[in-house]
Amino acid sequence: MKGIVTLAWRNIGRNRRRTLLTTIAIAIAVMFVVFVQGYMKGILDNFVQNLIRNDTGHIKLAAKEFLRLERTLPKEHLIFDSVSIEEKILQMPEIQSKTERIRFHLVLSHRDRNEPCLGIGINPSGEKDFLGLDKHIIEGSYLRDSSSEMILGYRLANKLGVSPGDELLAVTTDINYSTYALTFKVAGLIRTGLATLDKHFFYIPLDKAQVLLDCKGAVHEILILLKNPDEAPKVAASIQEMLRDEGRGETIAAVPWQQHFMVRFYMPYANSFIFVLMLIILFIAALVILNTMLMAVLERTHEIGIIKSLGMRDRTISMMIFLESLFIGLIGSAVGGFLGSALTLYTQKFGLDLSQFMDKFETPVPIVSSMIHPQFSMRILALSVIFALATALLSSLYPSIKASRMMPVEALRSSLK
Amino acid sequence: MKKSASAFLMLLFVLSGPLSGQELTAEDILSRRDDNMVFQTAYAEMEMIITIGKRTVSKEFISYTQGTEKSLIEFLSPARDRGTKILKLEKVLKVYFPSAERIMRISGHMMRQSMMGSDFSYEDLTETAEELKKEYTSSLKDEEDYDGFPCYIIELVSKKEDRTYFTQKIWIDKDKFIGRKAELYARSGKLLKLLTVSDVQSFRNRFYPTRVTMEDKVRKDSKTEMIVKKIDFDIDIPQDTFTERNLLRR
Repeated sequence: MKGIVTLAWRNIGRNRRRTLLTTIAIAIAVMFVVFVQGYMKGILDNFVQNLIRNDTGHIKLAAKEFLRLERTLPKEHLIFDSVSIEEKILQMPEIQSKTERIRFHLVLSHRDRNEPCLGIGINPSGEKDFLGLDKHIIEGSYLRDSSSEMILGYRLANKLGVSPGDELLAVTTDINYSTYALTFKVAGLIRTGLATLDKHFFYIPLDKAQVLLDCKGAVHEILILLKNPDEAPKVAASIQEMLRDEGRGETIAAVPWQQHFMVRFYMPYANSFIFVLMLIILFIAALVILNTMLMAVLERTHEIGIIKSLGMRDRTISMMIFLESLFIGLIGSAVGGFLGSALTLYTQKFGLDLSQFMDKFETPVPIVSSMIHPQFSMRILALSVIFALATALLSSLYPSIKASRMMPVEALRSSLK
Repeated sequence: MKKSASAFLMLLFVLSGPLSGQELTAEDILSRRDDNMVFQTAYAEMEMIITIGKRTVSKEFISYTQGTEKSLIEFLSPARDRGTKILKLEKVLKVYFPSAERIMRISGHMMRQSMMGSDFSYEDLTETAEELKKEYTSSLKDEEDYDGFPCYIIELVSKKEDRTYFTQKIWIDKDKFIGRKAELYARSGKLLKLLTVSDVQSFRNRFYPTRVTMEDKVRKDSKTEMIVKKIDFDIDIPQDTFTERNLLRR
């Protein structure tokens, strides 16, 4: 047995080019699978994080009618006297932080340029945990609480021709169908990498949004972050109970992020999409490995004919070829696993910026940032190494059996042709 | 010189016209209707009742009009709208917001937006009878009773592709030559707006729609009633009424 192992080990060193080729094929396949899987996980994770920070929080409170008609942002469906609800919620131990927003359509005007856009009234200091726009200011400064200032996407600012210090007129129809206008000074420009945000969104202090809409003390949404995101459905249920006790359970809903339609419908879809994609990549990888292994054996018909005529047993020959495949598979998947993990871990740390491509995409809801941090997973690494190894071994099975069943005379003759 | 009304009055006049005739072409019918708009100036006090779903909001405003080119609207109520003025000089619309003490020129996309929360758009204010004649091809489609009045049905099709109301169907009273109803369609054939006249009064030598309802079919359960409470024709209006400086004046 030990002799076979030594022989197999030496065999793979005998034809360097062939060994190298097979090893590289396996390595690339493993590397590719590890990285692509990590990248996909990174996109999904980025998507969920963006969704939570921009849209859902871990739990979102809003008027049921507002949620039902969310696409059109019906400004009149508000949570009135939001402070009393927030005070109760903040007493819950699971809560980490909260913020509140008003979201409405309006027109921004500067000189003779008008742009319809999406205004968000925010609590500037409260949003640091959520939108985190203070980290995205590329010019000027972040919004100060209760100021008559505004920050806006840099592409929107370009369209309007404004820069920090300029004055903008914001015009909207309030909740009583009156048309109202206020002026704002541009404090800063933001660049999030999400085309939709950079092109259509601006932010003003919450109290100014309430003046514009004529809805003092009311907000559209209360967003909550939890210490543990997985507890969202449970905490949302107890908030809903609290609302019912207050007599407001009929009109206001507390929704955990897991219930957002993007999460409910698209996540399973995205996961199966990734799974199918992986299957396709692995299938192609398996074909490459199979082909290289097959060639490696068939190339050696003459050699096998000789060792057979020298008296080597069929089983020993299959074992030898099987061992050769095992060695090559091990080396290949080790190298590929290492490279794939290194690439994933490196990009996980420093991020992969696809902004050149992402700027072209416009989605109705902000979905994925241009900067992606792939997610390294030990499980994926182990799975792809095992899979590559198994493919290598399985694909050596047929050639090794074929080799062992060859008649020595025929094997020798075929190579003389 | 033949002058026709503009802005709000225009909307009403689109639907007004004089006396009867027979064997008329679509052009004749439209001209007859337009003839009814002959006046130099007008002053009107109006009320606009906006109904969306179960909610109703009433707004009062006054308007000064000179020919087709110039008009000024000033809102008197409710409190949040009080002092808001809309100045129309030919095709240019400027709005003054007292809360911001700023003037905004309405342009581009905004033209199609709701005017002061109503079912009328800013664009609706700027359409004139001349334009309608020049930029649409008209044809007499049918005759039909509407609301008990025998009417001609005239169809207007835009000569230009990119027009909000690509086709318009107008019911014109055979007897009084005023519009009774108008359906405004998008190029796709979708009904965008429905305009109906529910009250007509005679002022000296003309008939005049004094209660008009616009329904924006894109908004759900929405309609705006425009009621003329008082209207005076051919009065003196100070020359500086239709200036930007007057917009800024409190």
